[in-house]
Amino acid sequence: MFDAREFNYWRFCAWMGPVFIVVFVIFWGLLGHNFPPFQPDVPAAVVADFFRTQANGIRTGMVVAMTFAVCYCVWGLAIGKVLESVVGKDSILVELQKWGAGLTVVPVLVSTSFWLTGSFRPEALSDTTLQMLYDMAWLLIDLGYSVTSVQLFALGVAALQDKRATPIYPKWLAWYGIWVGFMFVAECIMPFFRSGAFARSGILNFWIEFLIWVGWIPVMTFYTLKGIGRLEQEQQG
Amino acid sequence: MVATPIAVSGKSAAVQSSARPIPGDAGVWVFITADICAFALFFLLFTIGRVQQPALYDHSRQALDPNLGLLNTLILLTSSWFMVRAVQAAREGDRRRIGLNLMLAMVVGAGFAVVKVFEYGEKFAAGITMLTNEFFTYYFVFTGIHFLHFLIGMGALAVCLAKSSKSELDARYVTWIEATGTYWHMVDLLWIVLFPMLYLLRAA
Amino acid sequence: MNGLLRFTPVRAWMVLVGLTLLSWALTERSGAARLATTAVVVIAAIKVRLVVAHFMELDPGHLPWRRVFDAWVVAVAAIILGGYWLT
Repeated sequence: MFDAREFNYWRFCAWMGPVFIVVFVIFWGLLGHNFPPFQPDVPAAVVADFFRTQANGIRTGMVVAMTFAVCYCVWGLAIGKVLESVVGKDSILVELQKWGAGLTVVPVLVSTSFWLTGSFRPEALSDTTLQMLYDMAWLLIDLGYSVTSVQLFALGVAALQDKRATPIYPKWLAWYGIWVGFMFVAECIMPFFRSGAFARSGILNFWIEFLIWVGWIPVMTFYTLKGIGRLEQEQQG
Repeated sequence: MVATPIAVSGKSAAVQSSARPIPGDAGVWVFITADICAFALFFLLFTIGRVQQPALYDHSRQALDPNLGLLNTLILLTSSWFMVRAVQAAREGDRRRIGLNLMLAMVVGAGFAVVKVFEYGEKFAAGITMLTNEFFTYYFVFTGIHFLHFLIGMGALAVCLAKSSKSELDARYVTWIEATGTYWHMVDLLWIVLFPMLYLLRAA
Repeated sequence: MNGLLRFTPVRAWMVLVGLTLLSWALTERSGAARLATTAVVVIAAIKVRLVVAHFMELDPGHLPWRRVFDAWVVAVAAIILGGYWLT
């Protein structure tokens, strides 16, 4: 089976979840002016001015965010190892969760490169071009939601099948994740609105959607680490 | 009315102090709660918008047909009732009654979709969409999200129906159909609020 | 909670349908619009409570969920009515 070193690799990977969030919030969110984003009806000149005057901050924010984007995948693979003990190595649910977590890296990585592009040579670009780069990044990161929904659904369905007396992932957490996966669908109306609750900066499509997902990551990490400990003991005992 | 199948469904006795255990899987109530809280936020958003532009909201409201809203309310109430009967039948292990009541719940429930499609069609034909004004944004988005919930619910009912003829009517099945019922009643109760909020708030 | 057991699903359904028709009838009156509309919202809250207790079978002993749902009904009614009375 697995030796102690292997379990420690799992633990390290599980900790990449919290690392992802901290980097995401600070570097993508605060330095990148994405937390919250510019409201879509803000004039192009304002967005352009941001790129021109904050170029170095944005560059810093985005290079760190891009470097650590992969942490979400690494984290998902740790969950995957624990999930193998819940539904078995051969279950497609384990694959779906891993792929969902891995593919979530794509919208994050690619969209951060767009913000980075805007900050690379902003003085040479027009206001509307800079606005377009900002818009493009947001449209990708928001509408790429379904890869994360796949992870959430697979994880939820798998966790609900745990036959242990005390499941590794509690049932309420599985159901919560499934709910988050469905809630993401509201992002589909985001491109239709330049202001209000459904715009990219709005109470639903920014605040609620991001916070319900970001809040879920530390809780999942907690149960994953706990689960790794349990599996280690189950193997020894 | 506490039949033995419920007792073997593995619910923690320490949590319940009432005669019958909570229906469904304990965790599904987290899903239901999160969902109704999201809708409570929608109701708040609508209310704030209405306070800011009462004339616009009332004028737009009059383009809605309360008779259709009423019909949909009665449809969902009746479908919910059949669902309750289906769950009762499941607890008693009566396959035929489960199937019959689930079918009735679905057939009646399908009426909701017919009315909804008709209603939306009427609006589109009149050139009204979710981009027309703030009232109609909320109308289409909230009833649209509710309709998605309805569709998912119909899918869940279909799964219960399929399983009722094939699988063993054990504690797992009872828990599953109870959870589906709870979700379906949620779809019903959300519409109970949406109907007056969107259609019936007459300006004084 | 014997009172609850007497309220069978059929009776609950009949009451719900009755309340629905009542609140719809209230909308036909052109006079006392404010009071009629307030009554409609209150009736909706009562209907939600009936669905929670008799369809969902969420008993007072089912904690914390019953409390959460009761609080939800009150909050939602307060929000809608509060906004309504402000205009």
